[in-house]
Amino acid sequence: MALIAQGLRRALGRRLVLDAVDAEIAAGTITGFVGPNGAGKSTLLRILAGIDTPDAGTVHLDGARVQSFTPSARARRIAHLPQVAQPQWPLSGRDVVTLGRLPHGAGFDRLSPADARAVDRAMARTGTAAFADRRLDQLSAGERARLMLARALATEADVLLVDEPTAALDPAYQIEAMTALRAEADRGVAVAVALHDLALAARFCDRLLLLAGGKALRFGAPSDVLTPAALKTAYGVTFALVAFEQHDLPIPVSRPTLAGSSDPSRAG
Amino acid sequence: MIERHTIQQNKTSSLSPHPAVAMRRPPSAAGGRRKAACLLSLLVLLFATPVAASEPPARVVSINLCLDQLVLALAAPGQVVAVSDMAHDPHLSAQWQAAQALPAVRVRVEEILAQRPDLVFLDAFAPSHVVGLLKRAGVRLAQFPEASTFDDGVARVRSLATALGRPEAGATLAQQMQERRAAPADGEHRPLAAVWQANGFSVGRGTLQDDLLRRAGFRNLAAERSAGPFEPLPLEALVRAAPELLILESPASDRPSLAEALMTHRAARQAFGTTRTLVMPHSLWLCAGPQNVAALDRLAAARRSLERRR
Amino acid sequence: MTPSRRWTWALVAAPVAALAMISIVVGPAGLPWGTAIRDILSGHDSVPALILLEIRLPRALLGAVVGAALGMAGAAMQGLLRNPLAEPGVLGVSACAAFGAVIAFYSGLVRLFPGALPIAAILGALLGTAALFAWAGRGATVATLLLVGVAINALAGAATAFGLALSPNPYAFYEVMFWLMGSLADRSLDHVAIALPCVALGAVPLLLMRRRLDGLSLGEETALALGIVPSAVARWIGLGTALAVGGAVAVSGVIGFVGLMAPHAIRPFVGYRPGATLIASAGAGAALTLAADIAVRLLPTGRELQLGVMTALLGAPFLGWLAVRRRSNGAAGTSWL
Repeated sequence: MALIAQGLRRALGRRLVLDAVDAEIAAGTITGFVGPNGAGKSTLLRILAGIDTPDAGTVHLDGARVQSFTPSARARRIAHLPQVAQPQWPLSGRDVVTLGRLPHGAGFDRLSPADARAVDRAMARTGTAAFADRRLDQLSAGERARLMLARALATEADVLLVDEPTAALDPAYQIEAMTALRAEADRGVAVAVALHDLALAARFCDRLLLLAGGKALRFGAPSDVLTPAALKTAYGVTFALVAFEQHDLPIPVSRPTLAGSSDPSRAG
Repeated sequence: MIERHTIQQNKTSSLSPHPAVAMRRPPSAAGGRRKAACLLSLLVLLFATPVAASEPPARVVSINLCLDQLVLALAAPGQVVAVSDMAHDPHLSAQWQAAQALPAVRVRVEEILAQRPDLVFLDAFAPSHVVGLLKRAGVRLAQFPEASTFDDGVARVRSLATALGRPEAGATLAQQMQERRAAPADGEHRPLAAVWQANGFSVGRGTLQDDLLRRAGFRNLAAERSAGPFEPLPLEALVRAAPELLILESPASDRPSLAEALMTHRAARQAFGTTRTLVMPHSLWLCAGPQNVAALDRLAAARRSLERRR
Repeated sequence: MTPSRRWTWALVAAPVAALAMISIVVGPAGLPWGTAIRDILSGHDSVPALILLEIRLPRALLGAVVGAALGMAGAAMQGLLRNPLAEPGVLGVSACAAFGAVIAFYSGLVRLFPGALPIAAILGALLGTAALFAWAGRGATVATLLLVGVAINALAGAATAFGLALSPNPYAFYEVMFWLMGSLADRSLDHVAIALPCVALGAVPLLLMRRRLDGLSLGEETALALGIVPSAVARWIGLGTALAVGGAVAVSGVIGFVGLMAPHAIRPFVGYRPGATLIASAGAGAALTLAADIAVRLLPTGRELQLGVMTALLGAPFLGWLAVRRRSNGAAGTSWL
């Protein structure tokens, strides 16, 4: 089972956000999308989730076009966690996670035992069980982010697409969130995650897609993608690789002086 | 919403661009204001009388619905050059057909002066700035006190005819009114009647309608409920009082209004039905004058029909 | 907080029933209750039966129906727009309905076809809702939404006054007060027969959207991820709001702020769930409207105060309080206010 995208093109106004991008998210793996701001990571995730439509190209899940699914069928099979949730009402922690069961026809007052079990599992996996009866406005930003992840897990979809799950989190929670995604992949879920943190990407992802300016620069194992040369092309920054356990973690070291552009003394 | 009976107010003041715009005095203050206004109009009449006593006016303009109708009935051919816009309205005016040949003026000094009048008829509630400006323009004014009884109407016919320089015509019409008016009730049974007007108001003591009801041998519910001339009569109170006759007024326009739609409330329809309901045209009893005779005839007929069913 | 369904229903029904009873008891004069009820049950056409059935009952029924419509519509708009200040009265949807009703009524169309009144009001409300969604957008900030709503409200109010001024009927001009500051005085069972079907019909799409409104709690992006199509939800809610508000305004005029106050009052009792708020807010709106309509009859004002004036007297300070609280809480992150 895999989610396969071919030749995706997406323009926003006159700007080409994605240009001929291919991607494959295989079951049981974590695929990381990395690249500088505006590289098209979020747009790619939204198109893969079927909530945005590409101008050209196709997305298939097990051979079926994602665009042909009904919205709720699509949401049952593909869970998507947007980068920013905008909670409007101070729902309880458990209610937030319960929302993940909506695609299965559940509601707050219409929860089957299977739905309730899925909600319990998701909260346990994200360490949010303690927030079940807390109101959303009484939780910290990090606690809320973990509840949102629990919401996405509660759907128990075949595909899990996560946009920047670690952005608002302390290091401890970053590790926790990535570990939770790893566990999902180990259960056979096809996971894709957009990441800013290249070190986390190198450590937790099975495959990486490096995007820059809407184009896919490289796709493959982290060690093949996160080379100083490729990273310099993508980010315009010189990277060094630091060995940690069996991973090579990229560390940005300097901004190259471009002819006639910036003054190195001011960049420091 | 409960609103003063706006047309009722217009009887005393047509001095505004729109018929419904009228003095909005609260009912409690009405009595005092009316006294003051009567005094004022007396003064004006004193002022106007010597002028009126000279030669008959040749270009008369009237800017009050009630005066318009009398002027149209009494003036010599060609003597009236304009009347108010309301006098042209068949819903309100008994003389609307006679008015069709004349231009309509609204209560605006410029419109009035454009008719080059040598005499302007207006009522006691004419806005003082209009009166003042007309005086400064050198126009003769004849201002009349409020006529709120049938007898006031007879007296008004006489004095208005005198101001027109046609006292004989006035005497004839007054004579006809007094002859044809319904005979006073014989003192036996006086059935209770309720007038229910737009917005659920009723007319009590001191109104022309009250006077006409008494003359036709009815008791007036509103006059017995309270002392004010214009008082709200809640639907519930109307139904509970169970008068023998419900008097509604004919529509004030071809187009509907919520104020008048209230008259068709299911509770009123069910409580009174068509046999105990009389619809009185505004034009017959809004103003004192010869048209009141027809109003008295209708009331008398309704009373006879009630008597028959007893 | 996980309130049981039964408890929610009791919360909705009990105060509404109690206030409806009080509303029936309040009148210009006492009523021989025994006679009235006996006569109604035996079909005897007596004056007390007539007063109870044709005067007191419709007013209480309309208070409940109109209030429920406004409360539910307010909750639906707040849930959809995810905006705590959304409300049919404040945002001009009710005024647009009043404009539609005024056109149908004063043109005389209603005489040819009585259904024209609610239909025109519903069309007006639809127009207002569509304009609001189109100009402000669903994701608009509170300020943008309010500004657009104020513009629509002012335009519809002015158009209503203009439409009334065009009528040759001398009373029409003064009835702007009824249309823009509504009232339940002297309404009859005929009016109940106009409002009730429209409100019931409008409640269907609104109630069907309860789960989807829940799904919108975390924003449109999350809603999309949950398989909810916000634009479709907006269409159904727009339709339901127009039907309910149009039916209510056609018989009562604009009664503002009920749709603002009712959801806020009830939300803590239903765990802030937008879907559950819908039903509870209908009850709160009915209770609030009934209470305000009882108050205008009991207050020692010379004439009976317009119901819309009473709800504005309560609601406008509430709106101000919400705004102040929102400002002072801005940094603390209580995004729900």
